[in-house]
Amino acid sequence: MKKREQQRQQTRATILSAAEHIYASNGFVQSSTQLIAKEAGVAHGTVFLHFQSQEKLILAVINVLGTDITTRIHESAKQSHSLADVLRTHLTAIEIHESIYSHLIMDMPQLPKEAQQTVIGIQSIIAHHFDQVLNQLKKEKQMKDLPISFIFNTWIGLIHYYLTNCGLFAPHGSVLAIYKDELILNFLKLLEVDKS
Amino acid sequence: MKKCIACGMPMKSPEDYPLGDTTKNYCKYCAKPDGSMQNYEEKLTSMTEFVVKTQGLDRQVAEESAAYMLSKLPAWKKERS
Ligand SMILES: [Zn+2]
Repeated sequence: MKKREQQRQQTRATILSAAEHIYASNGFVQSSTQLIAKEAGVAHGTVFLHFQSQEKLILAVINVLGTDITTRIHESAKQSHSLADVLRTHLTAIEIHESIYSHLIMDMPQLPKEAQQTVIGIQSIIAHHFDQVLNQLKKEKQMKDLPISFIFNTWIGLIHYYLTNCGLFAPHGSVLAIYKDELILNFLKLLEVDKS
Repeated sequence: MKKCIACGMPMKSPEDYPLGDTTKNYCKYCAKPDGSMQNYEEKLTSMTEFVVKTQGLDRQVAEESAAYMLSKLPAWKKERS
């Protein structure tokens, strides 16, 4: 009995990682469950045995992605909590999943509402860490007095602009590998209070 | 590692718990000043307000998203079917 459950979990994990792989290369909208089944080496029906629908499979993949990104941010918040650290951890976490993350934000308007709500949930956790460091910086008057939503959306908008236009910025590889340091440095400068 | 049943936040050190009480299964953000857990309506309101404040979303959209996030958490599974 226990062995069967283990096998079931194993198959589920195999399908999930095959789906991640396919979505990362072809996007969420373009990818068929047939292709995912083939990649996982299972029968097409087996995919639905574990995930009921294409929609559920997409949600499960987004959840895995979100959990990984937010766990990295939670983990690093433990050791140090400067704005530069939060920005760096955020970009490093996205960079690890750059391809699937980019497809996710590009395909978002066509994905089910639950997918968008899941992403809002992921952003909420990142925003929580922004909120914590920004409040501290504002208290110490080390940062311009701007609404947190403006700061957060400016940051997200900036990253997403680079990612969705990756062909313009880094046609042969990772956008974040090339621009990460520059984006962090200049974003911090933008918020810094002019001391002169 | 324990996760808050009401918002999903990982709780690692005593300071993450309400009044430092590590026997609780919810975090300090989900507690009232006296240390007891917020109810569903209170949590939905505070999460909605947080999403509006930090992401600037439309209030209705923020509330729907907050309700969806809460529906995935052990404390509120029964609130939304
Ligand atoms: Zn909580």
